[in-house]
Amino acid sequence: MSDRQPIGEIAVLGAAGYVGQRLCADLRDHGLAVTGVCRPYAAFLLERLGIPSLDPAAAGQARRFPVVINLAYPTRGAGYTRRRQNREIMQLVDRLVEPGGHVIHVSSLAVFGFALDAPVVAGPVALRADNEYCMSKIAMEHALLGNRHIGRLQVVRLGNVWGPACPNWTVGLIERLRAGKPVGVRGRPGWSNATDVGNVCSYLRHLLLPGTDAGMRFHHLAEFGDTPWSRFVDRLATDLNLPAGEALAPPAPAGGRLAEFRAALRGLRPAGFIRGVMDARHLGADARAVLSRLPAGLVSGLKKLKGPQVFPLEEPLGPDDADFLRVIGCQQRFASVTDAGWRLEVTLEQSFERVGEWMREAGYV
Amino acid sequence: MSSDAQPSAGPVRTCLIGCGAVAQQMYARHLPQIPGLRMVMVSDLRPENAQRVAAAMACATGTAAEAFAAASLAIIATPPASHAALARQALAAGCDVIVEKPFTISSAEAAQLVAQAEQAGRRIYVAQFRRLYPKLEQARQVIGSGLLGQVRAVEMYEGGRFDWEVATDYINRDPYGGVLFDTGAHTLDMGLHAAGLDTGALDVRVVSVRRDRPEPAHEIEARFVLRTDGRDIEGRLHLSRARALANLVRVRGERGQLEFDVSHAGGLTLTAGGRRIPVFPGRQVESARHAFTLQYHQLVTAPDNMSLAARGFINQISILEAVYHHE
Repeated sequence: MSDRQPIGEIAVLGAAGYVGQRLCADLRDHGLAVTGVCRPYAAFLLERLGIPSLDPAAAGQARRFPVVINLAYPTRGAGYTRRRQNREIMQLVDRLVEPGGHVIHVSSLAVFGFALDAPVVAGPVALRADNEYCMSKIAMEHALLGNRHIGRLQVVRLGNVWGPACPNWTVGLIERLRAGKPVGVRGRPGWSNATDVGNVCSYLRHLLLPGTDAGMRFHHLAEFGDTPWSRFVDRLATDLNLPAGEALAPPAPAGGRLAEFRAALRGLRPAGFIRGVMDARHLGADARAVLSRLPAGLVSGLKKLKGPQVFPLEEPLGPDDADFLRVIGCQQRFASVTDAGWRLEVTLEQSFERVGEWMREAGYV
Repeated sequence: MSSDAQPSAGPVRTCLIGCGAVAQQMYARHLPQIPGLRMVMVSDLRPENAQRVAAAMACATGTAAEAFAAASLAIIATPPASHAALARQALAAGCDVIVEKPFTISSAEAAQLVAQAEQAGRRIYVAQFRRLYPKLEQARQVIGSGLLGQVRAVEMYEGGRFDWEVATDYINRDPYGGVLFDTGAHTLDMGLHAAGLDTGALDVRVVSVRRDRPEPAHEIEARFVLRTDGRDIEGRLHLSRARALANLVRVRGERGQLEFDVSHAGGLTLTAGGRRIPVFPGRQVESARHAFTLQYHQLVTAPDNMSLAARGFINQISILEAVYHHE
């Protein structure tokens, strides 16, 4: 680390999360003063690491920080509350950072869509209609871009985070393998666009080095991005001694609003309603009374309007499965755009070993 | 609720002692759905907690003694160390009792409460709702059938980042607020119930315990040996509030093993003869909350169903107690 200028105390928002806990411990281990900002019920997660914690409700009352690293993002409540939650997080950043201070905002490749549908640029992303998580990430970046109090802003978009006990990708893949759910799309190997949590901590620590200019810069971190998901899956499947199932086809590409409306209408299931009426005691009697008085040919003709019964040929996918498969089958690369002075700390093989060690300790094998 | 209750007596007058996070997030939301229960009074040492739950359940607040006098069924949802004293008081007042898990903090207290209930002609249950997960009952039947031979080992893992918005600092300050009695009561019970070790004579010998801090610990790994019917069964219990673990129960037998996830969903995996065979129960519960609600419905409509009867949890408490006190 540079000895030109002390970094000062660092506040980490979202400190009790998966990356947050590891980042706080990493910064502390490298001799940096760090305070984790988290809700009181989660403070023990930092205390057990020897990291001081700060209640968001008390933020800004006692002191401000020269450096704020924001890992927080909306995680609770209905999708329509995300805008309010984003605003609260941004207000918290405002209260915590010194005027002209340094903010490192940790964002995600999801700003380009789960399948990286939008063009990947190391720059601002336009607001657009998308999945609530993606929209929330874009909105948060925009809120920070508009903040005039921040002297130095860096936005770090992480690839798919992977590592020991990582809830989204590592545990998620393991659970899908154990449940026999598809973990790939046949004939469509996808790029992992992955980053190991150890390298995330290393890079964020690297960005704390005093820069030569104020202003903002966009960073993309996916050091294992050119490794296909199949390599991760095969490693896990081997350790677990489980087969890696594949979906026969990728989920249907996102259609426009009219296609989405039609799909939503299919959920109403008129056939189910009719069946419910016919099976009912009183309504069924009424319906049979009406049908029995109609000419047989008319009733037969009405039944023919339904058309032949059509069976789904693919295993039906829920919304979560579809989003997962879009990511796992992603054909776009999320290339790293990182500072030239940073060096990789965790290699892919080291990452696999660490995950394997955790899996043994956690009882998976 | 007792066998001498008149069918036409209407909903069971119920009181709730302890209005913390469990009461606010589970009882207040789901108990009103049970037609056979009518909440008449709630009680908590913190008046604001009691008022919050009372408002949600449209009932009065009062002391524990007042609540027991007003009700015929008492639900104890306070921190574990107070369960035994409150349950004794409730039984003495003539109530049937449902105690939130863990039943008690000592096997002596557990046995005493079971005896007191029997003598008083009252019923006492433990609200261990995971027993209503269909796959757990299916696991118990498979293992009980002898298909895997004698049970040799039971491994239980449950861990994940804690995100339960507790109303007090109980998990950090209460000596019994650690992950062992909190989450461990669930995980251990699933393993014992599946392996048929929840009842019957059982001796516990703790081999080792590793904690992240003195109790209340947030991560704990315990190895122990259970002796029953003249044979030894190895036990391993690994719990964490800080990081993900496998979240499964694995029962190893002479001829194979059976494992299942600790969540409400999914089924079992049988491994025998080198082959893994998934097995799914014929029915599922929609969620943990569904199982929570269902347990109360069953306790009201089928009080003679003994799956949640307190005597079935004495072995669990014996093991928790032994691990807790092991240095």
